[in-house]
Amino acid sequence: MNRKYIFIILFCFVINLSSQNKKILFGFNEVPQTLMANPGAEVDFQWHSGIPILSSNYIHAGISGFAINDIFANDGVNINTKIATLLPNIDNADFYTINQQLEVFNIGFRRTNKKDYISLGYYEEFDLIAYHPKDLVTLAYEGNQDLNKIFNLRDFKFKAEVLGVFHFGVSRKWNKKITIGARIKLYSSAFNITSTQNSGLFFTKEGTNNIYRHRMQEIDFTLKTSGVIHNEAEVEQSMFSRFVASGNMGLGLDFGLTYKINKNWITEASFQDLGFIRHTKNTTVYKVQGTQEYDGLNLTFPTGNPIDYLNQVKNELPLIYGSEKYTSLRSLKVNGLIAYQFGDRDNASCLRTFYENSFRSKIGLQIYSILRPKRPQFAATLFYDKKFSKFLRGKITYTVDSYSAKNIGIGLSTRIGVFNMYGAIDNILGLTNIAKSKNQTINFGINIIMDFDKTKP
Amino acid sequence: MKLKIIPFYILIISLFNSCIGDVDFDQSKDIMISPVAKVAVLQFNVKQTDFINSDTGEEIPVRLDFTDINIFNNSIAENDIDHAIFKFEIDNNFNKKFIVNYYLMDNENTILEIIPFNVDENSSLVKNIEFIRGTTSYDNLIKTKRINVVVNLVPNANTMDNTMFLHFKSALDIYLNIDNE
Repeated sequence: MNRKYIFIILFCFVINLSSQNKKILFGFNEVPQTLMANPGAEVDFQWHSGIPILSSNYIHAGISGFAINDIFANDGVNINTKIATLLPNIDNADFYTINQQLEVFNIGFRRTNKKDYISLGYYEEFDLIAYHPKDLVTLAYEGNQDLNKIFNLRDFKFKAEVLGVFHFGVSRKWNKKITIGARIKLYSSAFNITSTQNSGLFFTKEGTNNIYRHRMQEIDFTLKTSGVIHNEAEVEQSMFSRFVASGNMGLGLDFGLTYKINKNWITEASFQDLGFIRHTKNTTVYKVQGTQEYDGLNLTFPTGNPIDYLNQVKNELPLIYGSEKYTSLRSLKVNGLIAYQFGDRDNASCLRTFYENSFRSKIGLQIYSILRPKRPQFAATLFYDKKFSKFLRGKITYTVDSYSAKNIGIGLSTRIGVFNMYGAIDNILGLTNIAKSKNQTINFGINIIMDFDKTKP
Repeated sequence: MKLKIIPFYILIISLFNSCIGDVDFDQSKDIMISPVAKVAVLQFNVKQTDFINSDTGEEIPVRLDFTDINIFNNSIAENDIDHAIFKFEIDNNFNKKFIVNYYLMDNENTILEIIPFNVDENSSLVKNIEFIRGTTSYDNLIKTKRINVVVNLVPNANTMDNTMFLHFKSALDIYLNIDNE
């Protein structure tokens, strides 16, 4: 069997079995979607068109505090014992996250000035981040039996959103050394739920007036929602209108830069999703604010009508909710890369003054950060990028991030004629037992690419 | 070139070995959490003036008050309470005896349980009553929607003054077993 077909079959299994990290796409200029990670990436395409729906599928799921295996391992230990052992070791900085993106279309073309590469498209995104609310979990798990324990509402932070994103970007090769690019994004939020700015304490102490005294101190809790389906009429609202023109619209900007320091050294940097969404339709904001101290219903033995003691207590810390416009910020991502390029140049016979053919080998360091409600998450990656042939390019990465310090990833891109297939896996060691893995990522896609003929003036 | 590509093939083939290790998600059926909720319930502090008719100066032998409670008006209370301990503490520095009756009632004012307290003059009293699932008293506790308190002053020849008080405290320690069924 032809080697190429063997590879395609194997590649399909990779897609089915594995996961990818977008850090792998950053600087991986063989694939058009690298422009989504760095709009200032230098690409060699005359034009490209992603296969609709199939051009980029991405899903990442991660838990920073523990692995599924820690709870569900079939090891003969009672699951409640395992949970009791595990919970104290999960920190309030630990988080649960899912990010999924499905590209509906992605096209690009080089302008006649040959310097500018235009790319545009539309993708759907689901993003969830929830921090481990350690105190609230303890309250649920143990109750308030420890009268010395103070429960803090501050750690209750989560955000989930589903949105559609139109984007339009330009990458311009400014000169031999610099390529810059920007991408503007139009967000249509289909669903958003945000609760990230909470504070307040709850505790139970021995009381003076009663055996116990409960205090909810300076509670400030806010939960904002938009796009939540409340009735059948809202169900009938088409998915098209939710994802394209929901009324909860926003704007965002990506910016990127590639700078060739000298013949061998190159650096890239970008930020993505510097933007906001203004939620004005189908919104509800829930608030609980105030301080309440409770030491039991206080009977006063009135001579007249009895007092409604219960409602007196309820009214001290009411839940207020109503329709209210609000603004949510997108999670800003920042990428940076510095690399040393070496070895043969790609298609070395094509020597030009403005467009140089790239080296086939690249080794370097990447950093990645995403702003999250509590604090930024960081990752540092060492990588080796190698173009084996016109047919195959690969990138292998070693990453230290919030999940682990032994995260090895791999990205592969293949070209068969105008067809490009790519896939990437992050944390391949985790694949040996996914239950023990704290995070897995998958990203794959198929594009049609027509290369830019650099030999023509 | 073949030699350069082979390591990648090996790597890819190794991914066929990816799997979920020996895990048993059926264990989730066995998950049980056992929190304890300590809840203040009722308290009052009655003084000499509460037992004196300000117009006539005569003693008022009986005072009563009630309140609705909804601690048990939810499915967790109905299904997941293992047992509960009703805790009472009474301080009486009157020079008179009191009989305090604590009535647990449903929402139709039917008396479900009566918890009596005989409080001697100048005394303290602590009482814990356990309600265990499966008993009649437990069922009555769960049905409770209203608590009615009647304070009976037992007459004697002693004269009351305005420093005297009867401080009544009550709380519940609720022991839950919440499972996945």
